[in-house]
Amino acid sequence: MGLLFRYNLLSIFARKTSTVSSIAMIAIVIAVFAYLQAVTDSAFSTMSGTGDAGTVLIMSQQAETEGTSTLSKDQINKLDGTPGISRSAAGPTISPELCGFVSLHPRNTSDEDPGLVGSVQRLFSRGGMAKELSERDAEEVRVNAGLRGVDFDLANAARRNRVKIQPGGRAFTAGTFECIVGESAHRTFRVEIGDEIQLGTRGRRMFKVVGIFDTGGTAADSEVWAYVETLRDVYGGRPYSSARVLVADESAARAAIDYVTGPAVELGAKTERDYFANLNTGQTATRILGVAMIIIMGAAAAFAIANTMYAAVAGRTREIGTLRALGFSRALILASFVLEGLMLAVIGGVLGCLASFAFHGAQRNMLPSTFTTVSYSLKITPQTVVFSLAAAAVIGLLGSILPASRAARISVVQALREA
Amino acid sequence: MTAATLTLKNLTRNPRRTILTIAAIALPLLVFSVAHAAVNLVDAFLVELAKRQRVCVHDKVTFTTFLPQRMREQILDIAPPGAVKAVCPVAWFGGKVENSQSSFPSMGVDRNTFAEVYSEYTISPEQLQRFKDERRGALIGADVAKQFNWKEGDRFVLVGSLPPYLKMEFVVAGVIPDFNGPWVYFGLDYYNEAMEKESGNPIGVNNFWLKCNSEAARQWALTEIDKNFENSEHETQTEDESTFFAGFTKMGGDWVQLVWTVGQFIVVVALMAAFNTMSMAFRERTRELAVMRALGFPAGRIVGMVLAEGMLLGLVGGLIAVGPLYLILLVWHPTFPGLPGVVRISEYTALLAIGVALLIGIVSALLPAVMAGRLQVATALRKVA
Repeated sequence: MGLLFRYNLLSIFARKTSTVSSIAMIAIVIAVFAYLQAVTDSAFSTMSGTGDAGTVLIMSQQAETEGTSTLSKDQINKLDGTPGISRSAAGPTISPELCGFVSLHPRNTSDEDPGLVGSVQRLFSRGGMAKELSERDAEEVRVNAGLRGVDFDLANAARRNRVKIQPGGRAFTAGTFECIVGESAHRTFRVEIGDEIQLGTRGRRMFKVVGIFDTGGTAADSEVWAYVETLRDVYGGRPYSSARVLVADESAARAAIDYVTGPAVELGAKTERDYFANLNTGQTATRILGVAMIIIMGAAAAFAIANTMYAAVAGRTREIGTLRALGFSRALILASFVLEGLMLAVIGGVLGCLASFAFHGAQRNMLPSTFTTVSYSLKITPQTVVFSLAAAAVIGLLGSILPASRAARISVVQALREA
Repeated sequence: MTAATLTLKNLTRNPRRTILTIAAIALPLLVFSVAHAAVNLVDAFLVELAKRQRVCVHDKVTFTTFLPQRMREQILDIAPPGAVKAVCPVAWFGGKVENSQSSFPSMGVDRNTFAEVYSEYTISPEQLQRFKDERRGALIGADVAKQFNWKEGDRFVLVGSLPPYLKMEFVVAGVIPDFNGPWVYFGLDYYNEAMEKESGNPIGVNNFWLKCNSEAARQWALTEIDKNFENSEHETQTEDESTFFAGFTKMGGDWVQLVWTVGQFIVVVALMAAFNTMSMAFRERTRELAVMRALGFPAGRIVGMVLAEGMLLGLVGGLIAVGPLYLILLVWHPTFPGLPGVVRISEYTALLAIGVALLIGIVSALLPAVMAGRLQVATALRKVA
C-alpha cells in the first residue's frame, strides 16, 4: 500500500499544469467558503459571547430588546430584594442602564485600510449605475449605533470588571457631558478622542469623547457610553431601559429570575447570555449564500478534478495494467486513485485555508434585532478550518470516484497491449 | 473537411471531457450571473429612489427619536412656493400579531398625503378612499395578507413594539401588492388617539417624508431645512431617501458588496477550470498537431484552430450557464423581499456572462495555442504522448 501511495503522489507532480490549475481552483473555492463561514460564525460567537450566565438582565415584561424596554426608578428599587445579589462595599451590584441610539458616520474602510483587505476591496468595488450614488452616500450615510447610559463602576461590576479603558483615555466623569466609545465603534465610525457627539432630544447637547473602552470582543464594544443620569436628562427625563444584576453563577441566576418575574417585582428577566444568544443576528441570508455557493462551486471543482483524473487514468493505462499484473487488486487500484484525487483536493484545501487567514481580523458589521450596528472581527477558527478541509475532501472524493472505478476496471491484457 | 468541422470533431472526440469542462465553466458563470442580477436589482432600486425625489427629515441624533407633529407645518411654511408637493409624517409602530413571534414594520402615516408622497404605489381610488374614511383603515402589503390570510374588510389586532405597547385594532382598507414587503400603513391620527388615551401624551413623528417637485427643490430641502432647525429644540438631519436606505445596507453588513466580491472570485475559478482542460487536451494531441504541421498546415492556422476550440467551449459554457436561467426568468417573476422589481437576468448581464465565458475560453486556450504554433515537427513526432 505504501508503494501505491508513493506512486500516486509522484504521479501528481508529473503533470504539473493540470495539477496546479486543479489545486488553484479548489484553493479559491475553499478560501471563499472559509470566508463566508467566518462571516456567519464570528457574528454568532460575538453575540453569544457577549452575555454572562451569572448576570441577570431585567427589562419590562413585554419588551423584546433593551432598546424598547422601559423601567422606572421604583421598579429598579424593588430589585434590592433579589436573592443572591453580589454585594460590595457600595451596596448591591445593580446597574440601571438606559439604551438608545445615535447615528454615526461609518469610516470608509476601503480607503483607510492600506493592507491586503483594503486593496482587495478597492479592486472589487463595483462600478455600474449606482456608483455615483454610492460614492456620495459613502460621505453622508449614517448608521445606527448603540448608546448606553450607565454608572461606569456599577456597569463594570455587573460585567465582572471586564470593561477596560484603553491607555490614552479615561472613563467619563459622572454628571458631565462626557462619553466613551467602544473599541469596535472607534474602528468602525469616524470618532476619535476629543471629538464631540451630539446626543439628546432637546437642543444641542454635545458630549466629548474622553476614552475608548474594551470589553474583550463583545457586542458592547460597538456602543457609546455616557453617564446615565445626564443622559436621562438630555433625553427629557426618560425612564431607564434595563438593569443588570450580578449573582454568583448560573444556578443563582435561576433563583433571581424567579424572584424578579414573580409577583413581588413583576418584570421580565433572563440571563444576559440567553438574551444575547437569542437575538437574531441577521446572518441567515449569508449562511444560505455560503451553502449554495459551496454546493455549486464544489460541483464545478469536482468536475475539474474528474477531468484531470480521467486524463490521468487514460494516460497511464499501461502503468495500471502493470500494477494489476504485479498483483495489486482492483480495490487497491480504486483506492489509490481516489486517494490521488483526494490529495489534490486536500492540498488545494490547505492552501485555501491558509489564504483565508488573510481575512482574519477583518471588520464586518451586522444588524441584530436590537437595531443597532454591531461590528465584529472575522475569526478563522479551528472549526472553520475543519469544515473547509472536509468540504475539500468531499469534492476530491466525488470528483475522483468515477475515474478511479474506470481505472479499476481496466483489463490487464488490454492495458499491456496498449501502445 | 473544413477547419470548422475539424474543430467540432476535436471537441466531440472525448465527449466526457468536453461535457465536464463545459459544466466546470457553466456552473461558476451561473453563480456569477445570479450575483450580478442580485447586485443590479439593488442598484436599480437605488437609482429608482433617486428619481422619486423623496427626502426625509428626522432628528439629528437618531431617527428613532420622535419629533413633534407640528414640525410638519413648520416645514411647509419655510418651503418656497411650489417646491414641495406634499409632506407625509411617519411614526413607527412595530406591530406584532398577538401570540405570534414575528413582528413586521407597521407605521402611522398621514392619510391625506401618503399616496401623494408615495406616488409609485398602485392604490386604487376605492382603496384610497376607504383608507381615508375608515378610522382604523390600514393599507397592507401582499406578504402580510398572505401570511395571515387577511382580505379587504378583515379586522386584525396588532400590539406595538414600543412602550406603552399599544394594542390597536385595524381594518384592511387595501392589499397593495407592489409594497414589496410586509408593510402596514395606518392613520397617524388614529395612532395619536390611542397614544393619548394610554399615556396622556401625543404620538411623535420619526420621519417627515417630503416629495419634491424638482431637482432645485430637492437641493433646497437638503440644505435649508436643517439650517432652519439649527440651534432649536429639535435639530434635524435631512437626507435623500437613497442615503437613508444606504445606512441600512451598511448596518446590515453590506451583503451586496459581499455577493459582488464572491462573484468576481468565481470567474477566476471558471478560468482555472477551462485552462485545466485546454492544457490537458493540447498535451495529448501533440503528435496529431505535429502531423498536421508536417502536412503543411501553417502555424497560424493551427493556433487559430486551438483558439477556436477554446472559444467554442467557452461559448457553449456561457450559453448553458445563462440560457436556461434567462428563459425561466422570462416566465417566472420572483421578487426579492423588500425590493421592487423582479429578479431577472438583464440582457446586459446575459451578454456579459457569455462574453466572460468567451474570454475565459480564449485566455485558457492561449498558452496551448501558442505552444502548438511553435511545435518543432520532428521533435513532436518523436514524442510518445
